[in-house]
Amino acid sequence: MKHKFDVKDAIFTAATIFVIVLSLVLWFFNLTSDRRFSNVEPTSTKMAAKDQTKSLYDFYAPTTIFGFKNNHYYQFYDTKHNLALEFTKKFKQVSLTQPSVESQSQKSYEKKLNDSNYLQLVYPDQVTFKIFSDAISLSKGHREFNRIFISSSDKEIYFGNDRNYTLYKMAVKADFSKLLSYAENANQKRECQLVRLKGGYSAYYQNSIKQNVYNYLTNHASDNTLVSRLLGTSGVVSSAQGDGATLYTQNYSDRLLTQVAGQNTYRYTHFSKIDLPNTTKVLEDSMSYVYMIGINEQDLRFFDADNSKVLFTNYIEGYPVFIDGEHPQVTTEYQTDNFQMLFSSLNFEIPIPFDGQTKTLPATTTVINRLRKNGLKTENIQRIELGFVVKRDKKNSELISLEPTYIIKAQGTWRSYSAWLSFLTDKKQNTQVPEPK
Amino acid sequence: MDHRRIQWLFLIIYFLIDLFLAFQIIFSPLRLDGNAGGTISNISSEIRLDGITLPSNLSHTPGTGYYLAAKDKEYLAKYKATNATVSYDKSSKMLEVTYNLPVELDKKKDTVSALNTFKNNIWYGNEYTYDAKLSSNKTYVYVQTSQYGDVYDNSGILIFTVRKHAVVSFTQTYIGALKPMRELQMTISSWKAISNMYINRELVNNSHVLDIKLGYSKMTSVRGSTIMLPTWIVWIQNKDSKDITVKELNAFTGQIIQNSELGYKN
Repeated sequence: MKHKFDVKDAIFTAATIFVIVLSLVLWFFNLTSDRRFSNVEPTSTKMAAKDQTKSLYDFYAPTTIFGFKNNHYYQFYDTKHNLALEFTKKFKQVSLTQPSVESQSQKSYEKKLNDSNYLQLVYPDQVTFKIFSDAISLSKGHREFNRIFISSSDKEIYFGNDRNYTLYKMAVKADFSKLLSYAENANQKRECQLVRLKGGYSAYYQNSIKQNVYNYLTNHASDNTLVSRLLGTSGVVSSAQGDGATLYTQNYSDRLLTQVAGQNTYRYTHFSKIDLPNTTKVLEDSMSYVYMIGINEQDLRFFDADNSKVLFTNYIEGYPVFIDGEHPQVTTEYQTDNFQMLFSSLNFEIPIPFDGQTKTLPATTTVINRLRKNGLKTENIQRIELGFVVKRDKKNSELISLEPTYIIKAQGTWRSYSAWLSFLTDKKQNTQVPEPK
Repeated sequence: MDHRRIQWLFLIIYFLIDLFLAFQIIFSPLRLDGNAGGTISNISSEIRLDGITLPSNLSHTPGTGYYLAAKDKEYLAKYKATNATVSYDKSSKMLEVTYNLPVELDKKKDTVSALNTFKNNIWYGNEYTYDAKLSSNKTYVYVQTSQYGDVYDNSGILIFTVRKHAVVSFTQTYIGALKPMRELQMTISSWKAISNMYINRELVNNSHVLDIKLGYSKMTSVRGSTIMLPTWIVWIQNKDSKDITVKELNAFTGQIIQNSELGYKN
């Protein structure tokens, strides 16, 4: 008997085969695709920036302001007006245009650094143009800057990259006259000198410096809060580790380890097979992950970046705070198969009125010389700046004081001045060959 | 069961499986953004759908403010007045003055203008400013002010009781001169404050946000000083009962101040 060919039958059979094959494809895709994990990303930066307390401009903000007065170079600081905040407020309103490369020589760059017509706003490290404007497109090697030069001109601003001496000119409509006036009348001016180090130009204070010691009442985000913010509220498994630490895991893709570097420090890891993103994406994503922690963002700023690593820390009265001798508040890092975030859950909750306590720090050259005598080669020092280290009160665990100190980056590592001295002394002792008996 | 029925069954089951798998790919895994509120436009439309009306002066631009401090002292304890009963409560630091005979106000002026002159006769009187939203027919409320902003807290307030254009009594608290403790910092915007309130269910359905203002409120007392922080003060009216409540948010962090001590709610 001959079967009669039926079009409806054929379509029906084809549809059945199609849905079966499609289910196999989707099932396979579901199991093998890294999207399953790599999709676990923080909120898109643009959205987060709009909806969170702080925007990208506030995280990636200049932290130090330099300029000239009577032909002397000063670091300006003003409590009443907060120069960095005033700049950021204006900078947010500026429509950035395509910058052009003005010069690339050290000579031209240093000429601009010494030009008394400009106020210099300095970022803690290089940032990309792209994080502030998608419209800017520059070739490789010309995408970053760390210094902005503004003058009384409302038609152009200059961007500089200390690392490769590149100076960019950008035509903009921006009136920074208020900021220039605030800087001119700043209530704190510290004379300094720019010195070229491995990581760029650092401000050297020629005389000893008297710095205020600030106090805060603090609190900490609890383990439960951090777990729910970073891992979610369902399917989280906890297991006790040694030394009182706990490991929380979710879906094998995310984990949170407590007490990593002392109490109230955590390491969050998100496993994902992704290529190292470009610098702009690293900066944007790192900020979004920091939002996820939920710690107080009030004083949190970008502090340093090294390829895949980004450091954020609190800035109090214009200076960075280290939680201990070696750690800023948050360090994010992309690795080959994961993204990591080492952070402290410390929140500076209530400032305590200044009680007049100060600490005198030596001139920068004295610090550098002492480090050199202890075995740290000057050519290995990348950056040196003033900052604070958290000291806990022995009687009241919630009370901390911020002790002024120098913080130094050398051989790729940040440490406070005293932490470097201890490290170098230990190193010296360990390398000394014991005398034969 | 014939061949055709089995084929139908296969088609339906696999179609459902496909839908499930596609859904998993698109929407999994869990969002870890902690963004409970969604986007600005989502919140805006949700607020509208809940019958909540907002003032027209809401802004997305962040404000600025300081942590302020004032020395904790008994500023009003020694206040004296003739022809009046004066009492001072040490725990609340509140001064209460009741005149034996009501003090007539300048008849050429309206009550508020006349009180603006009258208040300068009492201690620190020139450091207070009139707030119409907190006042009623009989009580005229003045809040302590400073070059940094107005204080919305029971620890810096002056309330006059007025009858027939004459001051019957007044109660007063005074925090002291305010000074910034740290540098000027950014606060959240008024829009962010309202959306935070909505997300935290502090704005009930069918309510009208009358006004929002950036001021200062007491955070705590520490080491002999009162610490003030920038606060968003929000006046909310229930559309049905017309009752007005005042709520406060920490303008630095956006957190709702639960133990708000505003005792002069209408």
